Amino acid sequence: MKWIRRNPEVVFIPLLYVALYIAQRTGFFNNYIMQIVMLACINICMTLSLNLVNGITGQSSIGHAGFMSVGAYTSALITTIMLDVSCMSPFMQLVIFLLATVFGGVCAAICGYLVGMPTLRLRGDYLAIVTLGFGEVIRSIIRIADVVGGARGLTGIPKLASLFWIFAFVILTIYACRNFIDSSYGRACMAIRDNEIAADTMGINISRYKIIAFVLSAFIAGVSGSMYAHMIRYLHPDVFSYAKSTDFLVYLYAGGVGSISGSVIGATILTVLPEMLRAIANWRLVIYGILLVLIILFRQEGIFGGKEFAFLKMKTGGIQNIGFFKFRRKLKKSPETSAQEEVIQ
Amino acid sequence: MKRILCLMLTLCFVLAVGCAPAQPSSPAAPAAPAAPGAPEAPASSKVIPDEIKLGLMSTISGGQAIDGKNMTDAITLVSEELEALGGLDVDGKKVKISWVIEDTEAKPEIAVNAVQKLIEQDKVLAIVGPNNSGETIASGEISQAAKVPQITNTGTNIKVTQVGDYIFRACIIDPFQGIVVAKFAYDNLKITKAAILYDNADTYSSGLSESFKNAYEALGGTIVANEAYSGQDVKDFSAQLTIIKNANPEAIFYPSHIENIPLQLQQTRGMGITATLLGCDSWDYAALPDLVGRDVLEGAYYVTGFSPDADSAKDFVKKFNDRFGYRPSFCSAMAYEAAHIVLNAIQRAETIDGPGVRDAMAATDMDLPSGHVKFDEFRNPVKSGTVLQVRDGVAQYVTSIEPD
Repeated sequence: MKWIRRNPEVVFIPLLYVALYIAQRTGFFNNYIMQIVMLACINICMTLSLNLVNGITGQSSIGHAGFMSVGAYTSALITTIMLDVSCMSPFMQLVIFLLATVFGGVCAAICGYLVGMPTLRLRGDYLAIVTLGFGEVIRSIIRIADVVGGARGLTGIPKLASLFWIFAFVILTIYACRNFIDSSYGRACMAIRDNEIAADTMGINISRYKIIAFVLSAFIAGVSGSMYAHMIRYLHPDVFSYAKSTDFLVYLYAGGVGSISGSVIGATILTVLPEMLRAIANWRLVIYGILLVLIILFRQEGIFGGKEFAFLKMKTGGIQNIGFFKFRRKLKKSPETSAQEEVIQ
Repeated sequence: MKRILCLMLTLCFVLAVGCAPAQPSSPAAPAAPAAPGAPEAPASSKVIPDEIKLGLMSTISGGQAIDGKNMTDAITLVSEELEALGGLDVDGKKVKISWVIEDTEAKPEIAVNAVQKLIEQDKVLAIVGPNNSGETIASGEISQAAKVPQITNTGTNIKVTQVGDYIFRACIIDPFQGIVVAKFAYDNLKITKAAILYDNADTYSSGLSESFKNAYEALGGTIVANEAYSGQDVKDFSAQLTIIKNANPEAIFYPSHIENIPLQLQQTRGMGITATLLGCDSWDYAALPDLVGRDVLEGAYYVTGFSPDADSAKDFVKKFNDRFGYRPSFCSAMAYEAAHIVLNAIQRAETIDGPGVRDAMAATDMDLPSGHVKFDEFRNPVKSGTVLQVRDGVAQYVTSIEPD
């Protein structure tokens, strides 16, 4: 009991899912709202994945939609073209969907490794150019690949990504990112971000940690892509254009770069906002743009300003834990940790 | 840490066992009972509501904003016509028709959001648009599942109506357009060497170039150069045009969206290529001669599904021109026709709901600006292709080519 009181998220996260599920079932949230909820979840995962590279490791990936498209197309290739899932039992469908999703993630991770290996050994902004190029190359390949529909796009993807799987995937991603950041790997990555030379001097294998973060990020992007494909049920190469990558960058920087909670909040708000603005028709995207400018002008550190929700119990990374189930740090306030905190601040 | 994750996962999996199997069917579930439930109750007498909501999906912002404006204007004209009449006359009762307009930004995922909103939030009876094939395919899956009839004005790709039996189109299809251009070039213009400049990133453009190529080669012509560029952002076509120039074709076919046409044509003439210019229905935009330059466009031919000079179109063209100050494009004309096909179907429908209107739409048999319209079994209109030539900056009727 005491343990649950200290960790209320164990109850609250499943409750959130149950609430969403009931809202969906009773029709309180119609398909349109559910679609936005699920799209927001996928955007959260993409933003978290980008946060690992841009926020934690301090590299810049500006073609993340490329990895998403790899995951989306490979998984859809399996479920739609190679195997006809529609005539299988729901259980088999689910198994194939999950395997295809993991396979999509692995393919994206392999691409991430191939792209990251040569470039992450270098210091500087080479990764930005290479990821940008990678995104465009993938898009051009998909356009001419007739097996996945080419420029016509891929239709008839079965709707396998239900609210449950997307929700579970978001929670898993949040905790995977939290654990990664709190682990020695994450600390090494943050050291690289803050000062590459100092990190090198301390004996951190810089390119290795950069590649680990980048490959993990690509894997998450690939899995998000698969979820996206099986939710929207239509893929078109131009969906994963440079503009899509920019969207994720905007979510990340508007939410608060380097923070998990910031990524979550940024992606959620900026996915829901354009849909809420549908009421003002023609001025929709104008207002959206103005709001973005205002956020960046008056809150350079992002909506969340690098803070973290307390329930994540971040030991490192976040500047400050706020809101949601007060978390008292159980760390021994050793001189090093308080010094570290001051440095971060 | 591990305990938290373990407990959370077990909780989630317990929930999964309970909920997951029912999940995949749930998106269709809210729609399914509503749709068959409605026609059963009023089976004997037709229930006519006071107000009917129709949806319009159009590219108000984004890469094809010109088409979006043309389309929205056409719908404005339709609703003003209806207002003047005091509403749509359904079995003697005046029904108010209101349009809900949604932007698709020319992106399939936004189109999916928009169609969900129209169906779930606004509960529209039928949807007109969107104006391009990719978005219509993406959104069509949703309207098909929800049994809401959808009619695209200019989604010419063959795959559009293959999505399902609730998806219609008002225009001619890409393969047929390509065949008309090929036939016209080979039979009427006696051209045996042609080149193509197309966008391989675009469904419309690549589909048209393919059907033109196949038809033209089947007739006995040769494609001397088949050059592609990638995406709407390409503004410099000199690499492709140099190859085309060296191949020395007698005619060049440009199956691209309207945004790219002016630059392509100007650059073609700028390089000193004198071949005949051939176009497709996207060229049907009244301001094109002024955008491109009248001297550049002089003598160019294009095929479309609508001729503003035809007797049946005169009335519509005049009304449209008086209201908005420009001649209606193919896109406007098709949006106007799509709206009228839906309105006409509502008047004839046995029940005012998705399935009822769909059945009435499939049985459409009416006169519209482009001529008499009927649907074939694949919900494509049976229409002839019209060839126009630009003379003195105005597109003039040359000939009609019938479907075989």
